[in-house]
Amino acid sequence: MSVSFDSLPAPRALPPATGAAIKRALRQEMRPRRRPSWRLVAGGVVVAGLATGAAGYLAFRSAPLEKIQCYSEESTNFDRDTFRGTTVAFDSNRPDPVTQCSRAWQDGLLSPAVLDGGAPDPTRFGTFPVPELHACVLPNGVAAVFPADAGVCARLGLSGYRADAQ
Amino acid sequence: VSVDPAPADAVLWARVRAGDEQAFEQIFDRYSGRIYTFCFRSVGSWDQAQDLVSVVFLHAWRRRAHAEIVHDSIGAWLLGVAEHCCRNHRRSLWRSSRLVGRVHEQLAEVQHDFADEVALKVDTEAQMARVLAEVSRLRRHEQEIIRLCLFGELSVEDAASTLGIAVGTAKSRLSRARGRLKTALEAVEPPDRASPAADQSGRPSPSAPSPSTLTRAFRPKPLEEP
Repeated sequence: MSVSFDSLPAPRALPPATGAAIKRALRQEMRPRRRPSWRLVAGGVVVAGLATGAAGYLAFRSAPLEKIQCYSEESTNFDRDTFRGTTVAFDSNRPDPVTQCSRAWQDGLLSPAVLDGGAPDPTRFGTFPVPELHACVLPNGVAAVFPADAGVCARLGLSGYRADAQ
Repeated sequence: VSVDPAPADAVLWARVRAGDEQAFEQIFDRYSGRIYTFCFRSVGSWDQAQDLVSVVFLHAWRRRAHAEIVHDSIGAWLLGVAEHCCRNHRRSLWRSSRLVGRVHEQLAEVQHDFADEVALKVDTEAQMARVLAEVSRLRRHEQEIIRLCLFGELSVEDAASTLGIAVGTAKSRLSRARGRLKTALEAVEPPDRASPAADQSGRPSPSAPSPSTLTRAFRPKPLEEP
């Protein structure tokens, strides 16, 4: 099949089985979660936290993380919207943030060209070099992975990420 | 016998804003093909495009209160959401998401890749990979106009509006980008075997969905949990 500027692959409809599966999955995500039970759980956590002081703080730090900020450079910009890097979803099956950010590095998502708005090259996914990475915990509890040596967390005033916190 | 016309996007989206899931599914049925094609052209993989469709529509649902109807169509706004998801997050965000996992689980029981289908996917993905590789070598503003006019099938006028530039500027950018891209692709393979899906103006083929306007007002925020 020839490739030229004027011959993009033709539009395709989503296969019916795929569309149906996506709609079923979306329905589950769209419905509000059962807040009353969450309130009870959260209330219990708060009471326990207040009662135990430092233990409560540790419980907060151990709360599940939903996102990981993969930094392209050592930085004190902790804002999720403006930091230089990319955000990946926290995968509870692979809870090591360094591993997850490594994939972003391997795919070139943290290359200067992509961070400046260029499109990643799908043909090179998995081929980019990965620098030494270390994970810290931002003040808001989100994991952050920096391309730096093991002293980066101390330099940035952050605590190190503990795998057992998950 | 009179047949009720399909409700307009504006009517459906008013119900979506109020939390009507069935109205949202009608929107899904109406636009999923266009989003699927756009995502494929952005990432070069039909499988990844399939995953991205689910992410795009989930994001659209969560951002439904901020959607804009333009010319009685929600399509342009959805395309903006898709552009955002494809460009800024790529696979690392959605590959491991709970939603994508659920879709895969459900598809595992029903999906069959027949030989013809597999061959078509391989052919078109190879074709798209070469296009994407050349597009990535263009200047940033040329990539933008190519994505909007070629991948998203917007008119030059709508693309200019989206980018906040004059129509004349958009036309000249498109012309330059098209020329550079065409030269690069023809260096890879002569165009005599081409089967055009879009004409020289960058407008869609008759079989493609109609273009609409992606407004400058669309400024998506990063994906986030509600």
